Amino acid sequence: MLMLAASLMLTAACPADAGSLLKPRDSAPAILPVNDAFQLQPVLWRDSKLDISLDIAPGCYLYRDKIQVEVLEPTGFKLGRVALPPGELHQDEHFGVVRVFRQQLAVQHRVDHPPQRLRIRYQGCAEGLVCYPPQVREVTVESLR
Amino acid sequence: MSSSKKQILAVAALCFAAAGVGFGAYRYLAQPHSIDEPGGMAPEITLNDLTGTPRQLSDWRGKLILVNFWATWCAPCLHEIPMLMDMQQQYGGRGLQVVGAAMDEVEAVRIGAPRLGIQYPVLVGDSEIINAMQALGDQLGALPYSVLINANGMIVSRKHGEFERDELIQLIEQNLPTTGG
Repeated sequence: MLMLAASLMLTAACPADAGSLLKPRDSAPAILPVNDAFQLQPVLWRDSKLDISLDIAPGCYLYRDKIQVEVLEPTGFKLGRVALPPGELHQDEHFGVVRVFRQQLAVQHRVDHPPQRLRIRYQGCAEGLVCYPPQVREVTVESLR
Repeated sequence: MSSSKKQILAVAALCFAAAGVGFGAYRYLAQPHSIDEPGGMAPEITLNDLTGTPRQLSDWRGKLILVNFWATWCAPCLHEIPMLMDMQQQYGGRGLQVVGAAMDEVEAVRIGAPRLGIQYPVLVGDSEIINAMQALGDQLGALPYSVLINANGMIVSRKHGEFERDELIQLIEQNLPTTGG
């Protein structure tokens, strides 16, 4: 009985880790899962500014023109145009010269009151390896008054 | 030593033993012969072609099927496609069938596939493609993703990212059906 209880404790302690350890071995192990390639940080509102940031893994990039921020709640909330940094130029064989973000995308958008929920879209690639499908995340804004 | 202390020690010892068993099980499961390796039968996959007609992978049973998941917004996919067309031309008569599966909007593929000169069958979808990729072993959700299925319906290779030409030729040569399909 005690053995069973201990085994259950063990398996319940780290189910996520066990899952990741048993991920398929792929012929291209350097390719990251999308949530590791692009890590959306908690969205914060403080001092009348909305902070949105995405950490971008080395070798990966996000397309500037694929990034969108919209307010889900409250309805009718006027966010205004979210100004993105210029990013850097990237010569793409098929899409020509495009602007991309590497390492980190950090946006500070001035807005007097915090929205409650946002929908954030982004899309990017691992340089010369793969591209990830467009990502959509719905997040609750943490208001630090 | 009090009875309660003995019980705590016993529980701790059992936890340690269970951890050892768990680690051993993980080491076993993480070996190359575990479920993550190609070698299983490909599941039946049904996707629409560009006319909206449902097609099944089993439609090409008896051939060596290279299912290439791609998208019009995926630069490495677009870079790889001319080589896949070459392979179809070179090995089609010996039983290779390349099948493109696009994670995209139908209209984008209707325009994009002819522009790229794709001659092999192209299937298209959104969540259906994601489901098909997962059913064929994908856990990254990244493109391009290619799965090679032999004439008996067995998955013989899976790959994220572009093939090297020599690598793909070797794979195809090793797995072509003996009678040409």
